[in-house]
Amino acid sequence: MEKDLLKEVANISTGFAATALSTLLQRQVAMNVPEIALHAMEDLPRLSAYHQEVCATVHAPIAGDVEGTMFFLTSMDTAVRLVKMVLPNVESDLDVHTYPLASSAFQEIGNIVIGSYVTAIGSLTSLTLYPLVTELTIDIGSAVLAEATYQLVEVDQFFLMETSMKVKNEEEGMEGFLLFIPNERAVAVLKRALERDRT
Amino acid sequence: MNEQRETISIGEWKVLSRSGTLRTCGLGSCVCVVLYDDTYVHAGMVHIMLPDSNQARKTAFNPWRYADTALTLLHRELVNQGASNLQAKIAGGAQMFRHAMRQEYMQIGKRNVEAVTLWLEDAHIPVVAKDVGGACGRTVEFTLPTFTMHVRTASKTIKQI
Repeated sequence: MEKDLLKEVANISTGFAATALSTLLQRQVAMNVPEIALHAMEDLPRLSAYHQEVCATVHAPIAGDVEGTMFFLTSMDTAVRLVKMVLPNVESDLDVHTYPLASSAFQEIGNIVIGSYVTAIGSLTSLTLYPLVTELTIDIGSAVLAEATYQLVEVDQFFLMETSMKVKNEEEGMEGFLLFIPNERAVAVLKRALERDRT
Repeated sequence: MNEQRETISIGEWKVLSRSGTLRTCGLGSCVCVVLYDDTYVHAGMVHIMLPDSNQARKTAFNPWRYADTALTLLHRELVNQGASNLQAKIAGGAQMFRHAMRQEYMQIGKRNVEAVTLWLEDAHIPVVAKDVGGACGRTVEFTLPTFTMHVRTASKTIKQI
């Protein structure tokens, strides 16, 4: 029941995020059907596709009526290629690790994806929510995701809303993962807002 | 005998004797503590998330998530299994985010390390080695019977402590 509601929310908001990414990159972006699952808190560090690898992650605590945590996460290789797409005229090596222009470009990609996702949730539910601040981290995926547990201190289980997006026509898949972890209260708030709209 | 390999996550713990590997990944602000007895060849690992169980708002909280309760339980478990002369190795307590963290959890890594250090001091358990603080996540492996701790970070370097 909650899962179906969250799936509906995720479908629409991911669509917005994929469109925003597509506009930014001027390329087609395909999104997978979002997956919604209830997890034990202990699972969090094991969840990401790249949990053992070093990833580029934009992380944002979400505040307002709906509170939670969002991550936009890609492999290092994908991060560099995404940055090249938005900065086509820059000749130098666009290592997001060492080159400030590249890292801020990647962070901006994350901001746009996360921003459009939460904006879509807001317009769908007439609730107010926004990223509090965003931050780029380049580190082991599991360690970055594990930090989201600090908003789950008092709970044992949480909903993870996860989608992957792929840039079309790229031979070696360029894939980004968008993860939203609404907190316990946020799930109830979303549910109420959607049920209210139906009646 | 099959080499025993155990991996733990946040708020989890495992005890091992004779030989094998205890492992934890996803160590950001959290602290991984290994208590071991090198004569009895016995070790226990716990992945601690927060410094103080008094901060828990619920009564039915998971004691393995908090430094004070987790260390008390792990210590008791090892002693019950026959260990004595315990020593400790610790890793973790980084600050992963400079900005994007709720105010109450800023500096949580540092506070976790302080809480663990204080508890161990009070229990007269010496900290033989540590790799704490900084801004990077860690993956930790502790191997018996060598009592070595391998700490891997994003830079791919593996530190042995």
